Amino acid sequence: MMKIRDGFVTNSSSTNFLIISKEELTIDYLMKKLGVSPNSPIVSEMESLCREIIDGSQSGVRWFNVAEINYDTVLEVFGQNSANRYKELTSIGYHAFMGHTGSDDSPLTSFFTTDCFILDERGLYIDGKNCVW
Amino acid sequence: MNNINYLVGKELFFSKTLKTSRFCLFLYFKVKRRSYIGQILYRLWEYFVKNNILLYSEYKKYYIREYKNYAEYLERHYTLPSDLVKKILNNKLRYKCLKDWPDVGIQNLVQTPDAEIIRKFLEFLKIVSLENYDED
Repeated sequence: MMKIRDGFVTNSSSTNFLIISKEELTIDYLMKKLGVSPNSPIVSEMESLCREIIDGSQSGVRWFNVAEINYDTVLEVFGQNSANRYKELTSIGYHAFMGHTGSDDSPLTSFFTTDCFILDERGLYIDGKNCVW
Repeated sequence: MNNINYLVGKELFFSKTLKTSRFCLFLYFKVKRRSYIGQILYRLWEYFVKNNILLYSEYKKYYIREYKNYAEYLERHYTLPSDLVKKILNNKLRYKCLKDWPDVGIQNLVQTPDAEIIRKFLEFLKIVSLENYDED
């Protein structure tokens, strides 16, 4: 049966993201920082999201040629605010990752891709505002 | 009272209970309220529940002369089959139209085919979807 979708219909989209994390990115660490308990009913959906974020961080950003993550490349891709946070947090030992996700991934990752947000809390900073869709 | 809520196309008929409240949302899904996933779930909750209408109050205020009784108001004003009206009829019944919700990202997520998170969310709100409801 054909499903008609009203609302926003688009081609595939991508978003670049910046993650500045107190610890190395693992699924368990991301799950904890994104707010989900190990016994949550949606743990498998969140695991998919976290796995796809980590995979995305290994493929780098789209539309920009970034050889190395530093203040200047963060400034170029994500803007002044994120560049300032990058400078503050990496000076106290945080790790920085850049990557991209797509709207063809799992439903939560697709939502993550098309959502426009900044997450800034203890131990984790995510800039998800660099999206094209 | 029937605790099942019904989604008929884009129209939701439901009763508010403590178990499907904002308070219980985070307990049920075992997420932190002020977290990334907590905010997504809260946006989903708003999509289904916020800005609803208390139907009996609407009927009494505006439609009491037009329809013989509350049941007839539900049947004719919302074009609902009589057997469904019998199931949902109560004075605390609420209505929410899900069309044109401003949170486009959430709307897209809800419309994603086979999204498990949405299926689980509908379970939490005890919503049965009746896309093509036919009277038996």
